[in-house]
Amino acid sequence: MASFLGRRALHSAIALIGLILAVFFLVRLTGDPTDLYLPIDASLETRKEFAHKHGFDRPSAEQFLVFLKDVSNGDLGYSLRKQRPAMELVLEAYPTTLALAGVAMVLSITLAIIVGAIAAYKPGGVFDRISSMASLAGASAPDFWIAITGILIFAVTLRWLPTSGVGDLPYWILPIGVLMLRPFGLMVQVVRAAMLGALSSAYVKTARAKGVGETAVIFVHALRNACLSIVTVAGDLTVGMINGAVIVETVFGWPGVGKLMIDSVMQRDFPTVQATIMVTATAIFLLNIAIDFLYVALDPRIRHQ
Amino acid sequence: MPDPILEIDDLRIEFRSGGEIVHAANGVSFQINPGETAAILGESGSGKSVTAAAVMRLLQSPPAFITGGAVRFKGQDVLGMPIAKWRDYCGREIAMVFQDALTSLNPVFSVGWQIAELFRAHGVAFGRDANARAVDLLNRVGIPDPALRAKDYAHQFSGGMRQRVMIAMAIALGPDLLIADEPTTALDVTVQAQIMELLEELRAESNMAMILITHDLGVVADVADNVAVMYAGRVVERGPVSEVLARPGHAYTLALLDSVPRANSLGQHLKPIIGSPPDLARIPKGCAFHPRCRFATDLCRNEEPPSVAVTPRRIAECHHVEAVFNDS
Repeated sequence: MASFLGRRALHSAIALIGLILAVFFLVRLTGDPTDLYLPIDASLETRKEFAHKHGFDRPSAEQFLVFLKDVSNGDLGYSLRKQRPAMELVLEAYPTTLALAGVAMVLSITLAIIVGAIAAYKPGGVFDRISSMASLAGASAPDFWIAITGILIFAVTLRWLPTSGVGDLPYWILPIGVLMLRPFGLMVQVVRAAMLGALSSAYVKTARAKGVGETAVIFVHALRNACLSIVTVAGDLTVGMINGAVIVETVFGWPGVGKLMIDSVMQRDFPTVQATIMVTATAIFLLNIAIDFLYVALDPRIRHQ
Repeated sequence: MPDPILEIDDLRIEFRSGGEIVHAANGVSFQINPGETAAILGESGSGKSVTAAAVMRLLQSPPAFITGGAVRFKGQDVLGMPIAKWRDYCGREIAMVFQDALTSLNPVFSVGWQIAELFRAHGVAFGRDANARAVDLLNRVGIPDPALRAKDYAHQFSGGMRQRVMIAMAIALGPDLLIADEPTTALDVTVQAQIMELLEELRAESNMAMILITHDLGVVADVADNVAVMYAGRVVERGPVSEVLARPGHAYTLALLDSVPRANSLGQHLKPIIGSPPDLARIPKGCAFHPRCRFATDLCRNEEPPSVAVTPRRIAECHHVEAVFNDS
């Protein structure tokens, strides 16, 4: 287990370095932050002073080395926009995103398991056909469009829900609904396929021959096996939720990491962009490790290899 | 005569898929008395496992449909009763051992958990009590270190040990009837004998009735009291094992016996049954066996054979019972 973790950490470290390299140089291709942060009629002197203060006057390679040195000391730089440590901004924004993504993920997995299991129980039945169509639509619908249409219908026309912002329950409904759509649609299909296989297996026959009730056959014997493939996909989708969060947070003005990332890119706030991406990448790495552990916990056959 | 514990009467099963109808069982009739061991003998595709699955109500519908006949267990109509009520009989009064123990055991639960589940599902025992009983059962079916092995998973057992686990589950609640569907087919020859011995021992201990589904004539001869020979979804001959195997009344049974190599047939060629079992979507007219039968006449090609009482305790469905009987 320790060697497995070590290998995993090494791979992730290499990937992280590649990612930092790419982000560091790519973000600098977006242009010169000086143009955005100083008044249009700022003197050359002021501009030079600004560039010098943030190190933009040095060659990029040198900037990168300085950046690496700072990172190794745990310093991810100051936000150009907010004049505060970039890390602080990221850590402030993270809980909001985690709450949004967490609730959306838990809800979509739970619902998908129920819907997928019922669909698989009677393949080709009415429920199966309706849920297949609905889940396909959910998985294929572009979330930015659904988000804006949702605002138009529920917030502007019907006035049932607020258009954007953070607050009590009504503020959560639209963002979570939109964020759930794709993972829910995909998960229903995955759960259905996995349950279809499990329900036609020999061990389900054994369970029925033992006199185990149908509910336990479905939700204990079959689902516990289907979990193995469900977890794989759910893991990928959770990672992919970062993408969804960027869009949903932007559309709904949700002050999370996704919005922070987009705002920082727009404002050429390089240190914040770098910090968001590094923290997110680390979170994904940890998530993958957690999924590996979950796998081992779920499948005794892997455990004994 | 006691009342039969299980009666299958003219059971008909079809599989419908892609516009084709596969006739898996075409009027299967069979019965077994309490404490008796009966064998159902037949090639793959003769309908023996499908019949067992229908009795246990394990057929998935669609594609399987029971289109006729009845099954009675202890006088109760099985196919007509609510499934939840039948499930209550399953495991408690009627149990089944399947062919492939590796796939028939759930890979993600320990074997102890799966055995204890029987006690929990039927409200007999829970928690530690159920687990302790599971360990007792593992001990009874001859698994060494039962307390330790109860925590292991199916993939950690050898083939023979896995089948012992299946048997432990089947006998957990002391059923009156055990259906063993090719219990030794997936096993090594030496292990086969041990498993059959164990089954017979456990059966005798509690005077349980046992239906042994097999294609192995040797097994039938060793343990069964009565035998039903199946071909193309029908029981073509049935009666006491000693009589049927000594002197078959159906041309198929005879051909089957002739195909088995014997100690005194050293140096001779094997005599396989020519041709292959019929496509169950296109069963031949008349007697289904006629294309492969050396006794076949025009009568066999056109008319279904009647049920003939070969002796008072035996029935064969063959147009040429006498000729076959005299030939053997």
